Amino acid sequence: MDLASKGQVLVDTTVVVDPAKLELLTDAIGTDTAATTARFVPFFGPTVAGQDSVVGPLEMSLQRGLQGGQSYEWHRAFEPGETVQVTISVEDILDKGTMHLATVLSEYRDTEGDLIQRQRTVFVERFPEGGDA
Amino acid sequence: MSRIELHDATARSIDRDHVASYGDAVGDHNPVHFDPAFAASAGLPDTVVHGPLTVAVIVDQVIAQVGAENLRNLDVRLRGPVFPGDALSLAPIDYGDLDRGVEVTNQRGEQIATVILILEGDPDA
Repeated sequence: MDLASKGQVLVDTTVVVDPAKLELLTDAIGTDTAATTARFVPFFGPTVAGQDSVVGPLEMSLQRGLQGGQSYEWHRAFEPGETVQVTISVEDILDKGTMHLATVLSEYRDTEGDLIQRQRTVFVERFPEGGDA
Repeated sequence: MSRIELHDATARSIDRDHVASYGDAVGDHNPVHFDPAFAASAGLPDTVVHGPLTVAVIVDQVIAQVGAENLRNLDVRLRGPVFPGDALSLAPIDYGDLDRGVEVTNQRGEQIATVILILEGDPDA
């Protein structure tokens, strides 16, 4: 990982909560409550935005990297079709010797600026013994 | 308001078609989730279910028990990989008055995740 990326804003943009993607997310969860759950576990956060927006700037290897944790602070559900402001930043990066840990903060606000939810995602990149950490 | 109680539960298995829908929903087609050969090159016995999908299934189980209107905060630590066909079981842990926890295991009894949860009506809510 790029240890100098702490504090960096990775994404600051608006997105529309796409009803079609909510339906795919509902299918992925696949239960009676899935349609509700899909509105609380958004699909456009750092865990899912892919290499371009998050993994790239962190310089994390996809073979050595994985998600170590995820936290949510919920204020309300996302509404299908609504426009939300997404800000994703690197809150912290720790060098633990055989592993690097990155905490990525994502905040989602509505068009009034009110918080919808806040997420923290912990990425872990492990290095083999005697590796190139 | 009385404290909301959680109970033991087992989720339906997370199958390859669920993983496919998740990949399409979020645009994450990382080969570690879809290509067994790539997974093997990373030392894994099979492709790995997306971490956020595992988290979503855990959140869904909590919502099924307590209702979405009672969600406040949830913190999941992922402890082990989930593979296609795995079914997760949730068991509440009593940490005392301040924190409530949930232990998540697979059908082989292996630890998958631990969860700290704050619900409506809890002291920190």
